[in-house]
Amino acid sequence: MRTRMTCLTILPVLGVGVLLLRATPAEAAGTRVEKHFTVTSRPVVTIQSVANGRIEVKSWKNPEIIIVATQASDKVAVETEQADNRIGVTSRIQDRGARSEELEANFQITVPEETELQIKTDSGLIYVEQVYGDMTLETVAGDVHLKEVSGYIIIHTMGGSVLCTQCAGKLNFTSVSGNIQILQPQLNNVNLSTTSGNILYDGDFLRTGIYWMKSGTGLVEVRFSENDSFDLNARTTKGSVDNQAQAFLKPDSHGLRYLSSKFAKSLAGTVNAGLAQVNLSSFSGTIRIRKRD
Amino acid sequence: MKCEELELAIEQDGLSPLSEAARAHVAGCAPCKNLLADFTAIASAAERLPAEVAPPERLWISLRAQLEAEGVIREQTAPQKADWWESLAAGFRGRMLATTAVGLVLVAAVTFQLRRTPASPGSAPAAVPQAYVTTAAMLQLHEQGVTDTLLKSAATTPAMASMRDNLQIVDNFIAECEQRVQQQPDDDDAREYLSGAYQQKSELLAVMMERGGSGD
Repeated sequence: MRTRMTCLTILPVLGVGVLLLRATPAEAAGTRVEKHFTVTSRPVVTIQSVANGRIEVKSWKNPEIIIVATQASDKVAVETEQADNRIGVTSRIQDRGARSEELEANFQITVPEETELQIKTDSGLIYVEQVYGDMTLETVAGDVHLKEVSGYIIIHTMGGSVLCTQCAGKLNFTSVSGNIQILQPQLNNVNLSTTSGNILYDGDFLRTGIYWMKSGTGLVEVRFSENDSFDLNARTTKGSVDNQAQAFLKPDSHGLRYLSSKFAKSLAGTVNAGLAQVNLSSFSGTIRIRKRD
Repeated sequence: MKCEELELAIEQDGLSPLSEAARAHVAGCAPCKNLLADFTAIASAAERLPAEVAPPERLWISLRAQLEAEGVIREQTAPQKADWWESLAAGFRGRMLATTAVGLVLVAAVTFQLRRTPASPGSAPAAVPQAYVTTAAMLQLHEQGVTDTLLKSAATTPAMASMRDNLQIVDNFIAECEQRVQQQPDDDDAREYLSGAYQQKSELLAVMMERGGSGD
């Protein structure tokens, strides 16, 4: 305990001192590497992985970060570093001729609850649970699953899909073909955009929240509760608007009117007092508005 | 010489050498003196920037697509104005901090352009698909470069396969938007989708180049 406390005291004093800890090549072949880093409040963890495999981030209440990397072969190298409260994890391909299965590396990372994350990966699932801090997650083909996270969440994918359960704060998502499902959210600022993916928002619209959801050719579906309060504007260039909540959607009672376009099919209305703002749009996809059962 | 004539001369011939008539006008006109000083300072700053890092090609494509979408520039309206523009822009290419510098120049130039030709509310809309020809051509060139690079890389990872699939999706969406814009040139929403799709493609190509080229 005393040693641990001493470390906690000394580390901030080291300030900008950088500790570079690398997994040696000998450790890599089909093995498991575990690293521990003591941190103070609100660390930043950056992960950049070109390997195939899963990245799992979970939290605990200790001021320590544990990184466990499991590698399939020595054809992918894993490096870690610490600079005060910033922890970096990087995987690199050592042999470009390696087979896909040889380039697999899985990461299990345990962080303090209040941690900022920056994860960039090519493929494989990114799973984050119970982490409270801003996060930027970028992936080409990997899916992203978030559970009970909060902060300013930024997600970019090309083909990867996102499942966001009980997320809070702000969410910004862009994708080419990825879908996104948002379940039981507590989000007050949402901006979702996908070219061909589908969007599902199933949950409350917080009062004064702003919500933008846009798909090129995919389905945009929102399911709200009858206690929600929001103004709705739905607009599609070539698609259709499927309003399954006519009984709850009244004419817009506010002064602000969106300019209707003679080229688009649109629907505007208000649920209850219209406190939040919900904007849905598509190019050729369907927009569906439903009340939750 | 009048102020408008000086602006036209700068626009067509660049900053130097100014004609005798232009110099005489500048000597007696404070606003034109200031304008000339501003442009000279910008050009001078551009030349001093170190030539180390090239701005990403997507920056040019994105800027152009955005300006075209907003109707600020049009392919067919001012072909003669491109010369000094391009030479000035060329001065920035391949230079560190070019992003910021180009932004400054664009703001200055757009302000200059708007001052010369105030928007006419009744003017006919541009032929939009025509206006995107240059953007599409630049993207095609960029795509060719990426394809060439990727062909040299033997690795076919899941990520690379996904990138190729998504490039096809974006291409299909661009085609759909182009068709709509061709049919309804006044449809601002369709123009916005098209502009966004072009930007997305340029970003996707940049990622493909980065991932395919480095592998780490």
